[in-house]
Amino acid sequence: MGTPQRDVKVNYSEVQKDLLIEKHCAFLIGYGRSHNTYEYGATDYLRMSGIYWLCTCLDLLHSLKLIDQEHIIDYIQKCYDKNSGGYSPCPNHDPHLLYTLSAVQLLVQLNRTDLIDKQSLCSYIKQLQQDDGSFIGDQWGEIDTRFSFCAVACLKLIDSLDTIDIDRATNFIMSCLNFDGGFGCIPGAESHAGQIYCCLGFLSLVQRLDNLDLSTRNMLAWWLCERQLDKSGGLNGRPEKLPDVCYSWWVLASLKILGKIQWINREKLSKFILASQDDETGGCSDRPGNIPDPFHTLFGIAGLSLLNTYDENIIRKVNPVLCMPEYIIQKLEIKMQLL
Amino acid sequence: MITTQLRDVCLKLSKPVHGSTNDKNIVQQIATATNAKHRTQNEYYGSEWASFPLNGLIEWTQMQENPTTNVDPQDDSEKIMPISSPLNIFRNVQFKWNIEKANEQSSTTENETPKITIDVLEKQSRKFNIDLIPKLYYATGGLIDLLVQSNVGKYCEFKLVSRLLLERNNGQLDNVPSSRSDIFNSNDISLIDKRLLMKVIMNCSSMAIEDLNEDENIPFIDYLKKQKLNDTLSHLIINSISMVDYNATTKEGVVKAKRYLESIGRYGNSPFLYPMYGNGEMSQCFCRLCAVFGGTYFLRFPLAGFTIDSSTNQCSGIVATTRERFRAKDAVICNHAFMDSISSNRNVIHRMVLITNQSIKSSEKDEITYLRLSGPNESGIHIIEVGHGSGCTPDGFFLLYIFQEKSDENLNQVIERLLKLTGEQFTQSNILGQLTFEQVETISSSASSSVLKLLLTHGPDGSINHDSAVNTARTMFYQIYSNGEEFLARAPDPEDIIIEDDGNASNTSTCNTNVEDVNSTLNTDADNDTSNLNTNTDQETS
Amino acid sequence: MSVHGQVKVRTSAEQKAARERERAEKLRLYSTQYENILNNRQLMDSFNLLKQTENILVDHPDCFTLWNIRRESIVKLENGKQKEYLEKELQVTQMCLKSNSKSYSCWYQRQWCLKQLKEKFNLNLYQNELELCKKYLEYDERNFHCWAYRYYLLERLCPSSTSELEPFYENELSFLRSTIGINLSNYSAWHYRSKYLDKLLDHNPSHRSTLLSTEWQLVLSAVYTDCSDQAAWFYARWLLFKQLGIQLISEDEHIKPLEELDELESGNKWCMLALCQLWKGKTENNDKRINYLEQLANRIDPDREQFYRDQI
Repeated sequence: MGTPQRDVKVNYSEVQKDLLIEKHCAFLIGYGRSHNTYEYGATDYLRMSGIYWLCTCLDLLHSLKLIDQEHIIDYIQKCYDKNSGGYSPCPNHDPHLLYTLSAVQLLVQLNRTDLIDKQSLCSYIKQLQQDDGSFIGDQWGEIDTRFSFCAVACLKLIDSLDTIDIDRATNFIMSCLNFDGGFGCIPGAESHAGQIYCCLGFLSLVQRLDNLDLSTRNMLAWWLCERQLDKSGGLNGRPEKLPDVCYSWWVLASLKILGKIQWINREKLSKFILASQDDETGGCSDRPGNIPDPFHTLFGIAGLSLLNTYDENIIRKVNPVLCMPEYIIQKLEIKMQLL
Repeated sequence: MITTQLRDVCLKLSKPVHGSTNDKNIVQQIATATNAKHRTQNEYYGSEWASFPLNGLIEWTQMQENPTTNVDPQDDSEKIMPISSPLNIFRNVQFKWNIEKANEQSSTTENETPKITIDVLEKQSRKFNIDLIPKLYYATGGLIDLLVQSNVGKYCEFKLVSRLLLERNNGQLDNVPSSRSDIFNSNDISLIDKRLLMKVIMNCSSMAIEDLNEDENIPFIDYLKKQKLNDTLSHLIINSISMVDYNATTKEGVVKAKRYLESIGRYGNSPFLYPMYGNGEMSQCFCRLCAVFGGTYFLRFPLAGFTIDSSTNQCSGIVATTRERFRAKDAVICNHAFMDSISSNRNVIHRMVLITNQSIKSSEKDEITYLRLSGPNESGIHIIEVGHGSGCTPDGFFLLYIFQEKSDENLNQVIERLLKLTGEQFTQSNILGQLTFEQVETISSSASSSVLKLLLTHGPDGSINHDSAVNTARTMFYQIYSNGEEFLARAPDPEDIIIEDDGNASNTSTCNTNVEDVNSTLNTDADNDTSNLNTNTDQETS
Repeated sequence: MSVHGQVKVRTSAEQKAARERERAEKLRLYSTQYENILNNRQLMDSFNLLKQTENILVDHPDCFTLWNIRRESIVKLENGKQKEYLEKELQVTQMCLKSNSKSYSCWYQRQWCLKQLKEKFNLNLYQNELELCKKYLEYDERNFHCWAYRYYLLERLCPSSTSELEPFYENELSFLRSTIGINLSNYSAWHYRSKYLDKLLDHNPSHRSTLLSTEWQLVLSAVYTDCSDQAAWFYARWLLFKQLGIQLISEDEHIKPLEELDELESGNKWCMLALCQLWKGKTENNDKRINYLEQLANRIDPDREQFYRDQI
């Protein structure tokens, strides 16, 4: 007997069990229009990603038609910075690789890749690569494996992966490998499910998952499946942390890439995600009883998609590497490695 | 706080009343609804529970007990029940200095460190806060819960008892390993023993008493042997965690172990708290609260006895030696020890206070230390050491409190035993002054006497904490107020809660705080409590 | 857009309205301030920008454009002023970290300042930063931003001469040991231990077996004290299979203690799994191994049933 596991209490006899599709759509649309709220206003620094979360989630729920596409495309154009070639999260904010990816994902999803200046985008990303293969997020020099993922994801979506030095980029990712098979944000940093997703996604996109030997992949998959907590059935992002719906995406997608999604209890996780829905306003929160937001709503729905809890007619299949509806990825014939 | 006023008597009256309650100023505080007043023959609050500066303590040892004047009943309708004369609560009070009065100027040379003399200490008298009855506070249950729940906690400040020691086989003092972290770090426990010890500790914490089944009544020491603990570890649990006698039952042992283990982590890596500036602060605390609600204190009251109504045999009030009478509406509460005439078992608890200039075990930082000495055929001896950090001594000096759990033989051997354990670190020469006395502990099974409306409390017992006092206060309160009024009502809960919890993994000293400022004092609140107890743990700087 | 840990609470319509008014005002204030800052950015008014952005960043520490503006402004200052402002910047980030100790932007800003100051390497400065990390880790021992920043500082402080390297690594390992001593579930501390152990082993290959032995004793102490503590078990797996290697796993030193623990603590999934991994390929333990894996799959840890089955 040892110290009890850190977890949250969920009263499964009383929580939401059904998927509240209409409520979620209403929640997302409403959120997108809530320009006067403080939450909306103060999260301007990540709005491009917010819109991506919103649209992707609606698309997964077969409801992309509910949004005003023109308005969004217009917004994205306004966020383009022609000096650097990158995109900002919001007009009047500086460009950054994170929001460049979100912008590209949106344009792909809305079928407006014609609006992407490929050459400009490629040179933007290329000049962000450092000598050691890493990527900085913007001219100010922050390095993070998330940015490596953003770089290759962007390039893959416009079919220009060879713009960057893939070998060096891969070396940098591998230098972030840890004792437990996981990855951190920079060499030396602790394993975290979000970073693991980015690194595995990177390796999948450049098709070099074999750089991880079998024992490392098994160890990592084991570490990932141990994110599931016994009582709540939710997933945490690293040991001793509380479960959170967004990890239903990052951990699950990682397991999918490694071909080990069956190593967790899918039913229990589904229940956890469903319990995190807000049955009044719609949307999902990080865990049952908390305030919902688009971020957790997307990852909850995407998680359910990976779990195959519902038929494709209800929730579309999602691509585990790019977190976009699979049909779009198929249409573009983007190839990635899944074990 | 729980105070026993030595010569106090407490009444609840429509008019000013005398009060003394052993167990409570808490009761006072409630009683203020009807102008409870509190009278004591002392010049200070708190009687047995008081703290003194050095000079005050010495004065106290020299106090004579004045016999009281007999008072006659004024007519046939009343009888007088006199208080004992003399009171004899404290007996054989002796104070001895082991150092000289003053420095002889001529003999000091450059190389000699100035000798500590009585004069030097007396100059710093105010920096001493010496308890007659020192106590520790379990972080959960009992008095601490009461303080938090009633908000009285905001009047006082506490420190963790940072160091818990035990007596080892090899004749040394060592730290008590009771937390996971202590056991992990210990180099003296084998791997297998670590597991066995942790298992017992976790079991004690998490099991329900009912799960013990037949084991409930077997001796605790046998139960521990059943869990495959060796002698050393069994003794550790019995002596230093459960702190029960060797003939205690498993149920008793587990209940107390649970208390200890549950208390660790609430405010820091120790189960006990100690009040800054000594236990006397507690009395002051409750007195203050009582006064806030309208209670009155009358110090130096010349009490002669109680007036009893002849026909109803009810206590009707008190009478002073000046023959002035005061009527009590609801009750008179007094210390059992006053009443020779209502004789009951009297035990004697031997107590000592040593003034020292060295800690029994050296440390880099200020510590408050607790050591429990015990063995298979003896009852426990409590040793508490406080230093400058507790606000009870000037820098460089310490107070060493020694007292018995149960009344037994005297404490003569204890100092020898302690000196053997401390070796060169702490020797006889470090003991600068020594106070020994006997405290009469009265035991009664019920709080009421044969006289109605005269409720009797008893003096401090030999246990390390205040549980018995709290329980008596509660019982007494409900005897006076049986109309559903709550004993020390809770502070109201706030209406709306938005809790920012980022899912931080907390370390062993878990405190659910929302404090984001790294520099702030630890304001602790456990679980649903919204009231605060101000503690200064050793880790935080305020 | 993304919120963590905010409990939903019922409020009356009145309270709701009041709160909404309050927040609308907050938004208005933010928008106005932001607009002012943008205007000043055009005018390149460094000092003013630094003042204005400081106020707003305390409540919006993740707004990276504001940090960009600060960096622009500081870089434009002349040398003497620049050093002064870079050091002041450390105070500013400290204030912001108080409102969000996990802001990527805040932690990076500190690093950026240090990078700018690198010409004037100041040991005191680095020591102060280490002290700050220590304080933050006392508050939250799992703050990975803080740990990563601390690692960065140590990389910068790493001595160049080989004779000083060993004590440097050992010093850090000692710090990590005491951190684990306070809470043996501190996964972050174990993680960094793996890094520094690696460095020490690389530096000192001749001491390899002693170092690994001592490390294994530490692991045993942890798993015996708390057999459910996952950090030590993940670390054990790495130590045994990646560092030591299957060839060097000893029956007496490694396998037996775990078998004994298993006897004391039957049904502990971590111990059972570790044994199954150690017994792999040993024919004499094969039946027991399969039995354990089945027990784990069916009864002891059924959530991960497929994982255990795949090990057979």
